[in-house]
Amino acid sequence: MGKDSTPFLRINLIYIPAILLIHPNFSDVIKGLIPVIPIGGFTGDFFFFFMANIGTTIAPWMIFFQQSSVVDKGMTEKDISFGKFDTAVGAFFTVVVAIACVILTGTLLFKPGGVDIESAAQAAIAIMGNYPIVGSALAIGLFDAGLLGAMCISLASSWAMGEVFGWAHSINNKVSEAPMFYAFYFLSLVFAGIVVITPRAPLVLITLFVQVIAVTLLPAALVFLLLLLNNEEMMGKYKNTLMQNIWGFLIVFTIIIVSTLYALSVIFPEMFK
Amino acid sequence: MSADNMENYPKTKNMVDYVDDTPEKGSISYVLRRWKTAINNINKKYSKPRLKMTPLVRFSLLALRLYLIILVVILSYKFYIMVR
Repeated sequence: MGKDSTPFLRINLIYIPAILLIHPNFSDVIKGLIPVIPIGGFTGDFFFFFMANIGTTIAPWMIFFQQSSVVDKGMTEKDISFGKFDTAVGAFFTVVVAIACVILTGTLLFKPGGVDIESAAQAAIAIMGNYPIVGSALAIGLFDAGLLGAMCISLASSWAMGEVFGWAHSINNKVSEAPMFYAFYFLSLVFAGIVVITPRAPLVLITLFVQVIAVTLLPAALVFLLLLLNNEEMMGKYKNTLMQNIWGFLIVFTIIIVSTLYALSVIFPEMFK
Repeated sequence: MSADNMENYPKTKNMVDYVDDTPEKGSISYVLRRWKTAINNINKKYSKPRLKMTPLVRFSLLALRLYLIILVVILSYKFYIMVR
């Protein structure tokens, strides 16, 4: 992440001008923004993709990343309002970029005679045939997203390991000052790289299952977070409000119910057809 | 073992019989012992959580984690059959 990670974030905005070049049908886009139960109803696939979607937005590593980045930035109580603003801006642009990405790939690939995609690279190459600039923008955006994801997730893991094992664990430290932290960070990146370059690895399937498993494990971390946020001794006046608790526990229960339904659909495939 | 520590060590009839069973540095047993010590230290560090929980909450959280692990095992099985 370094001193300034915004160039990586700004590159992700490349999807927004790209959608203007492909002239999507905006009435379809508006319709697509309204959640509906897809044709076929509640099937195992529906639960799977529903969970994978949640997994791209909220995952356990984000909880560790968020708290560790706040500590690493040296933020204190006076910075809470800035931290909230920072998170809100990040969340807003995450959603905008995700919508732009869906519009882009949905318009160009999801149509009669569209192509089957087994990797992100295939999507970019398929689009490049008719829209070279848009295909290049998609490729640059995906590369950037992958790079940023690899950095953030490895960093979150390294921060968490550093905290558990008591290693020096700050990106403000030099490599010589926090050797174990940087070694773990480096090895995480190497491991991720090995998975990606493994021949014939089903990358899309791996990506989806990682998201689904991450979501399944999310309640374990979220419940602890909610307990922490309700602890008056630690949180003082920042203790969760009733409404925040309702939303928090609603998310936890929804995730548990959906992951249970998906597990049932795996064990009893006839149950949801 | 330093001379100071030797004084605290329980006296035996013949101190010459004392065998230092510390594994050789770099050996597997040395590494395993270091890991065991590290894990013990972590467990000790987190043995008294700052969050006060009733036994019922503690049991519920344990049950939740076990349940989630079972779900993950089922998902891993599904991944295995899809890849195969």
